[in-house]
Amino acid sequence: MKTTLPALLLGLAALSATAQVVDKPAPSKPAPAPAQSNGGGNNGGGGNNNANSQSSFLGKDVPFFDPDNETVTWDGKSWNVTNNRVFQARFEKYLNAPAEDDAKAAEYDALLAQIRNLLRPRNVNPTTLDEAFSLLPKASEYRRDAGLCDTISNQVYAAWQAQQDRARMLAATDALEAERDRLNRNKVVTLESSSFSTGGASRADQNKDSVATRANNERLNAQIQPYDLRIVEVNALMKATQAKRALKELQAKIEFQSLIVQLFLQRRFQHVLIATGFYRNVFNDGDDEVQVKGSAKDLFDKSTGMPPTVSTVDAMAGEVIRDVAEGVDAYNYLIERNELDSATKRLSESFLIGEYLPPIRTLSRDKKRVSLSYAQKGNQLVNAIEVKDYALAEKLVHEMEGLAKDFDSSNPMAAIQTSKTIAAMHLAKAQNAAVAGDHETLEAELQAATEIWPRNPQLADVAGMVFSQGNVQNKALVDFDQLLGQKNYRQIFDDQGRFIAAVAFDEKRKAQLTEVMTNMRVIETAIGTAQQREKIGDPAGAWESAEQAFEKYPTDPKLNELRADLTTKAADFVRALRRAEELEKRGQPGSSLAWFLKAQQEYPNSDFAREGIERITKQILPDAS
Amino acid sequence: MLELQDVSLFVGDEEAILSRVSLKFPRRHFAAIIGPSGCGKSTLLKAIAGIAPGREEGGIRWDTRDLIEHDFAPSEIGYVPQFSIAHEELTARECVSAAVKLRRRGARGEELETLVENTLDEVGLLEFADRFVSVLSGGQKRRLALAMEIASAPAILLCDEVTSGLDAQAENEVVHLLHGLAGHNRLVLSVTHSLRHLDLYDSVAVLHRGVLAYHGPAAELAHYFRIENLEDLYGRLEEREPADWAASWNKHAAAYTAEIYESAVAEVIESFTAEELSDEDDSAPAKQRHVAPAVELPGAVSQFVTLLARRFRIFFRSRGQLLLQLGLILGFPVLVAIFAWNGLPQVQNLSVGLDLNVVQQLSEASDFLKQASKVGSLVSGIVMFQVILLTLMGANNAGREIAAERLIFEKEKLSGLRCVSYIASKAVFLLLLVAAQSIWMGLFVHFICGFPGDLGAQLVFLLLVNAAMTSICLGISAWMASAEQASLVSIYLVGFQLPLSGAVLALPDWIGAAVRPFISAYWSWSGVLQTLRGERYYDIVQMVVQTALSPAAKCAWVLCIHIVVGLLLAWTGSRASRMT
Amino acid sequence: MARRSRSSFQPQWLIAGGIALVALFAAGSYFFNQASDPYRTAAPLTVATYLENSNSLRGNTYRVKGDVLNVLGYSPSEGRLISVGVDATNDIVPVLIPSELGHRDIEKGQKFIFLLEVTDQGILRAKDLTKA
Repeated sequence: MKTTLPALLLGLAALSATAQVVDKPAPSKPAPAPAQSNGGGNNGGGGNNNANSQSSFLGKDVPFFDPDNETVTWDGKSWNVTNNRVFQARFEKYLNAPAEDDAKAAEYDALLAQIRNLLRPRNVNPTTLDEAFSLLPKASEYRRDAGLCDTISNQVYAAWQAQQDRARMLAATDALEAERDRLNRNKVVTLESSSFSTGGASRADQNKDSVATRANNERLNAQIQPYDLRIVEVNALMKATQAKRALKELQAKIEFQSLIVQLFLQRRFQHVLIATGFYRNVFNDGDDEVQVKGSAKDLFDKSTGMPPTVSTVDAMAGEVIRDVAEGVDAYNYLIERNELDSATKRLSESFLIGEYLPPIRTLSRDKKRVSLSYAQKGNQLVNAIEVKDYALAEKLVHEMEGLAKDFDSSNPMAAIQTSKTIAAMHLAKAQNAAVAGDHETLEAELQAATEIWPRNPQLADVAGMVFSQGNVQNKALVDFDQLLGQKNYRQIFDDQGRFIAAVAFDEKRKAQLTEVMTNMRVIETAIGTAQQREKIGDPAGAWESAEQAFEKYPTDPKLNELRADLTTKAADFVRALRRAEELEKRGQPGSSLAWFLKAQQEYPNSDFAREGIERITKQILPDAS
Repeated sequence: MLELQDVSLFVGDEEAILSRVSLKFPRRHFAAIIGPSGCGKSTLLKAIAGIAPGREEGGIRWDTRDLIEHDFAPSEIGYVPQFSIAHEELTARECVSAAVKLRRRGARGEELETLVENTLDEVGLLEFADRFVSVLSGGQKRRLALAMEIASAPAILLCDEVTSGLDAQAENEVVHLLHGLAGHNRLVLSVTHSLRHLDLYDSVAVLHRGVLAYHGPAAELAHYFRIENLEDLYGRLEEREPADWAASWNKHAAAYTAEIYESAVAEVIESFTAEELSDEDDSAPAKQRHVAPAVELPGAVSQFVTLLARRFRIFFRSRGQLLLQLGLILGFPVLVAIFAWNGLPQVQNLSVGLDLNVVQQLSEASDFLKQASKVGSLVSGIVMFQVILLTLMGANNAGREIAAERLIFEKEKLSGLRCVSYIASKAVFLLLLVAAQSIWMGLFVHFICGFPGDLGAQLVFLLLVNAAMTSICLGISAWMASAEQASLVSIYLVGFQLPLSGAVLALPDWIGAAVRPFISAYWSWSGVLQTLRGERYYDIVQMVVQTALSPAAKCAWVLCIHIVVGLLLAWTGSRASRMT
Repeated sequence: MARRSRSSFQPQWLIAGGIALVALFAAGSYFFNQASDPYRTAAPLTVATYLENSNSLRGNTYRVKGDVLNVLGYSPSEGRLISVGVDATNDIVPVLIPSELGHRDIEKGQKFIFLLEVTDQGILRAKDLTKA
């Protein structure tokens, strides 16, 4: 019982915390993470249904604690128990807050003690019961009570009401019973009279035998049927009434029980004791098994291993109160020994459970402050780990080591180191992927590394490198598109290495690049041919090769340069050709033809000249053969 | 009377061949001029004839006229040179006949025959009249020469060594003949080596190194020179210097001359009387009978005809010449036709159009060039070959024409032959040869080789080139000293025709421009090629030859000029005196 | 000098004769050169002007001496269009040989003197031609 108690308590604490603040749901993306991460997100998403299906009880949601993930789901939300920020915040707030040891607090505590005392089994009697009942409203006046005593009193009153109804229910039931008896008697009479007519033959024989027997039976059935029917009705009514009675009673009981559970779950253990006291005296049927189902039942099952009864709850509440007191004592003791970690843990556990209990409430501020910074650091550490700022976490760990002698850094450190290592592994993988050009893996690994340790300083470098690479790739693609738009195939060709790498996975651009390379090959071939011809002393032929390519690709600078150079070298030929074309445009076929002929004279193999001559000849002799 | 007064003759730098020779000969006289070799005997004769080379001083008078002012009429003087003046291919009669026709106007028909007979008879050649000169003996040839000279009945007969080389008998005959010729009122001066028969002479003039040593009767000779025998004369002459002899003679000249003169006058009187008695013609005045009437020269045309006829006769009589000409006329065209015996090849033309690629075009052009160069060279070559052969024939025709008979010509010129007639006869004779050669060449090649073009025009150009070359070579012949020289120069001229024509190799422009006007072969070749203008060959030849062709008319014009130039050259050359 | 040789030759006649001959030769050459030049009265084509702006020479008649280079085209109605390499310059001009002159044998490489008329399109149309 003791070993499982902390878990239970934690769960309860978490559950109770939900009364004030609801945490936001955990991220829905599943990711491999240390145990501290929220894994109950799905539960959160489906938590609604889960809560509805598992823990709705009489229309009310019951918080569901998942011990495996140490999460609590309630009202469609779930949160982690152990590093609950809300809880941490509250704890820190508690540590900062002054002790509630004022007069009013003392009064209230005394009042609750009195009520409890009045309800103790050895003390309780109807008078004390009534007295206790009358003290309830008084306790309710205190702010600290949060109206819980009023709730209890209401519930008690309702139970008494149900009991009064019970008497009437009993009377009704008696009446029904009498009616049923009467009907039974009538039915017997009827049956006896008919059996005489049949001679008491066995039914079997009657079934086998004659039609007359059957007709006789039918007549009989018809006679007794109304009685049967009525008997059935009466029975039903009786049962309904009983049920109704039982239901009402049960309802009151269940409501009372749920109140108790609720109070328990809300960690109002003093009120639990008060409520159980009243319950025992209101429902003194000995059956005090708590009729709870689903998650609440599981809670109890898992915690205590026994079916929950009011006695159990009562006992547990008492234990809790005792535990908290012990915890505070332990805290005080550990503080003195500077074992802050244990002390703070103790105090936080105690606070978690017994937030409303006097030892907690009345703990002095000074004492509390001792573990405040430690607790804060611890909270920060938890936060840091939660946000995966392992650098900060590590720093905090070291600080906490300095603060508390008994701080066990191995756990957080293990978590930190693990995360760091895994993050580094992912980074390495990302780097490899970047080198290999495997962008998917790269992205995946980067993301993993980022998720594991977002504030990894190396991440910036690698990401920077990768992003720069990515930038490089992007830049290359941008450049590619730009150059393509400018028809600057030359530049693309010169930087082909860069672009080939960049467009490797882009089919459209790859096709474009292939086309560009093809074009450039054509240009380069033309340049090569032209240079070859120039070398063998045929500048006119060289120019023509260059010019033919130039017509298709006028923007290539190298081709342009070569062409300009060759124009100078084959000046006569080019001049003749140009003059010819110019004159042709000006409508002077005679001169134009003469210049084409001259160009051909300069370079007999000229295609341009030959075409020009043919063209103009056709113009002069349209029907030439 | 023939009178020489201080006649001196200088050749070169004041070397006196004759030195102040003074002589007098009466009209009817037979004198001998003797002296050692090289004393100037022939020169004296030439000086008298007016054909001595060198510078003359002094005066010569015939009767009363100064020969410098009024020279001998060709018919007045007869000159028998040392060389033969008869064409070997002719008979004696023909020679004399030609001589008569050339010197005597109107000599034709029977009159001519009679004259010829008489002349031959006079020289004693009548029985050999129809023998060819080539078979006559030396003496007969001398007689023939004399006959030809006396055909014009000259008043003076100069005989230069007519007896040299003859045997004693012949010499005797000739001297007697001369003596007889002198009897017809004729002055006969005979240069002789021989000292025999001096008694037949009326006077003897002795020359010693250009100086007159003695002129007087032969009988006085020994006495004057104080020699026993006449054979010692030349030795005696050597004993004294010429000047001394001259000085001595000057002292005695008058006496001896008077004696000559007196005997001459006596002779004249005697002859005069004899003639008066024998003369049947009373109408002629007495004085005039002593002076033989001057024979009129025939007209130029008559001389031309005579010469032409003689030339043809000589041509057809010289077998060698005939055969050579036949050979040339028939052979050369065959030589040309060999190169294109089966006609000229056709030429595959170049493809036109642009559809051929350059390589094909070049290949075609190269093939075309190859065949064009062959055909073009063939055509041009054939033409040029024709032309060159014709120039060769022309050179052959005329190269020796004048030079070979120059001496005869000079002799005949002395006798009144006109150069114009002479050249004209040559021209016509050669023209006929030229025509035969050229026309046959052209026709043969045209028909055998199927040579294209205007045949008539081609014949004209072939004829013109041959004529031009003939003409020029005739001119060369007229100017050259010897036939061999003339031949050589003519051949050289032909030799230069081909290279300088530019048909084979193009000359540099300035050389070509300077030289081409003179190269007949070029003009003819160009002219012939122009006749191919309408043919494909014309273009092909133009492609192949590097020298521009000239228009046809111009070619003809130039060739005509060449012909004219040649003829002028011949005429001027013929007018020069070459009587060596 | 011998009497017979004296007046045979006077140098002034020789010189005069030489001069006369030279003059004759020159005159004859000139005359015949002129006479043999067909289309003498036609102006030679200024090829440079033609190449610059053939339209400006429309309607004029010129003569051109040159070699036939190529036949560029043949039309039964229009005639032959040939290219002619002009002798004087290194240019090539197109010449249209109309169908009226179609009977003339024109081969590549032949040298002709063309009498040309410049048509509206600036084409050189042959009116006559003769071998050069």
